[in-house]
Amino acid sequence: MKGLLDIKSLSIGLASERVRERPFVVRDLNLKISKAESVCLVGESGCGKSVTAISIMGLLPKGLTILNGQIFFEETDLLSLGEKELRRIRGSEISMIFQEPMSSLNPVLTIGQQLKEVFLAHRDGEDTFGKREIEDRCVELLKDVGLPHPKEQLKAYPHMLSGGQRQRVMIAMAMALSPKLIIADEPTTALDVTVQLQILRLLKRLQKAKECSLLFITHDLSLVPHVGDRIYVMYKGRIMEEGPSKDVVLNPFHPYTKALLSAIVDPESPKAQRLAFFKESPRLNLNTLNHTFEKKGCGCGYAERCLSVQSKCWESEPELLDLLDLKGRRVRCWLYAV
Amino acid sequence: MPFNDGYKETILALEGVCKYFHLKGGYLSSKKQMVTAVKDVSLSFPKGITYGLVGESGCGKTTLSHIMAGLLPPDRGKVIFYGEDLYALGYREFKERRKKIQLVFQDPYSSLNPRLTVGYVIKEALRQGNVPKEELEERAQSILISVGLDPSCMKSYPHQLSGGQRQRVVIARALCVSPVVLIMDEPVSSLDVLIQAQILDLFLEIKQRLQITYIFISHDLKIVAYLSDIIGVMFRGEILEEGPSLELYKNPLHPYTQLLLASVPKIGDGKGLLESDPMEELKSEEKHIWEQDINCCAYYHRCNKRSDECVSGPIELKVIGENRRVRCIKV
Repeated sequence: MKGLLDIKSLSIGLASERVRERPFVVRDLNLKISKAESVCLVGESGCGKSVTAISIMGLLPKGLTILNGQIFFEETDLLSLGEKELRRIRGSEISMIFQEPMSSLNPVLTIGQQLKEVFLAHRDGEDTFGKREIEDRCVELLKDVGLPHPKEQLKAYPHMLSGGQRQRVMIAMAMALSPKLIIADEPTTALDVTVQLQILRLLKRLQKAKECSLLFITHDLSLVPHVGDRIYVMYKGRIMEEGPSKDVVLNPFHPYTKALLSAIVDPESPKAQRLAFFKESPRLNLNTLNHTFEKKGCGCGYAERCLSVQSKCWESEPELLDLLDLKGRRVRCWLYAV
Repeated sequence: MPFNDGYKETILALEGVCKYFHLKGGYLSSKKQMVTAVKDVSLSFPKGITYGLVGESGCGKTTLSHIMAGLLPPDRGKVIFYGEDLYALGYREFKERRKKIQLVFQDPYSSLNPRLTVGYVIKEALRQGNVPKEELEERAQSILISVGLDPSCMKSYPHQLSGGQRQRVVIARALCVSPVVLIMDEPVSSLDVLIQAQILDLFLEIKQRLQITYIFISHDLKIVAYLSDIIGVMFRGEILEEGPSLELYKNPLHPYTQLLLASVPKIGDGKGLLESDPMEELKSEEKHIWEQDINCCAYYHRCNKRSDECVSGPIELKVIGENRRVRCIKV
């Protein structure tokens, strides 16, 4: 499989003057997505997964700067492109689905106006569309994402749709120009379980039909084996573990991945075992929790929460090690260092 | 009431509670539309039980929680708390009683006043619980420690805390008046999985310690089944199924419960979850809730087992076996 997106040692930091005190939001991140592959990026809130996604789109907010690294998208380094070239890629080559369907649609424009905008903004390419043609394509798109009465829905405003329907519109917008890569940033966290399943099914079906790649960002590991081929587990801006999604979920190595998995509740577990998680996790202290940003060279970032911490972990940080006997799996932990 | 065996007394009960909301038209208008948010719900909560209420958004579970907490009078029916109709009490008595039923809201971001420190919020709640002035500081600290927070956060404002910490503050605040019933309306759905697990464990721990009756509301059947003893499944204002949690989770009887259960992603079962009928969403074109026919099963338009019998008359909750109730004629 040919690589589509290749992020090489990407570091993102705060642009403030106090850079030296709390330097990295994302640190030395390597991530690869092949053609038609779906990759999951998993981690808790604040670990830098959304920032990574936004940096691919070139939409980093003012306070954050890219310190180091390259993002290759089909041989071109996205970071070296100017705003004009980026605008051409955004939407037509790479598109994004955001977490909250409530706030990512403009409330004063109809669904149709917002969908048409996608085509109008990218008019300068080889294929330009007429007004009628654009309208037809919009109807087609809404039909694709399973919205009933697509023609009438074009005139609807976002508030007239439910959360699931709004997310469908967002997917239609993202799919409009058949991009090669879709970034979905927690697309289902704001939704009901039954609706979540519908949206995920839709996303996978369209991804297969159009043969595009998918970067799926989530904090829920139970979704990962269903959605992704490969998984990256992220903590404090670092990749902690990577590998084929089923292998990682069924047989996790890194203590953090294990913690994430243990957080998925099992209603069939005996009641006596249920308090275990609370007892194991040390009492939450404000002071330790507020250090979201890693200090440079201070050992493993997960050490302060790790249950199998050794003295080594505080001194230096392990590399992301290949596990020789298991293909494609890499772990950043001293437990597995030879 | 079917579930009283093994539990001593019923602490809170709902008897035929209904709540309607008017959508359109003032009182002179001829066009009137009404939403039945809660439709003839009768439930009983024995002391010390954890009752889980599951349902999708818009099914009326939050409205029901507000009715139970004394925040919203029902249009019909009674809320019986300690043997007395809560809404028939005099104002002063009502206020005292209501304190014993506390609510934890869904969104920890909006249920704390951004201009008050954590310490102020907790102490204010303690004052409501008639704690003498001298003990306030000490009690506030111990209550924060008991929910797993550092007492140093007394001086913090809500924006300085993370989502999980804020939810802990909200729980601490609810515990200040030593409630008998704690209603939790989607308390973990806006949190990360790790934090979610910690908060759930906190609930279990508090329950062991204080013997409170929990009413846990969520859309996630997995979490509800994990935490509760009895589950009630709600759809469009009605209870569709009720039963002991593990039994219901392993063997759901109502088609809607079966759908809810099938939507829970499980780690073991590979990729099958996302590969069923892709266009199923299109088939079911639902009516709006206010257009609903009274003689029709509420779930009719989405049910995969529907037949003509389902629209022939109102469907009653049937008692099945020792302790399960289902509102479906096919069972």
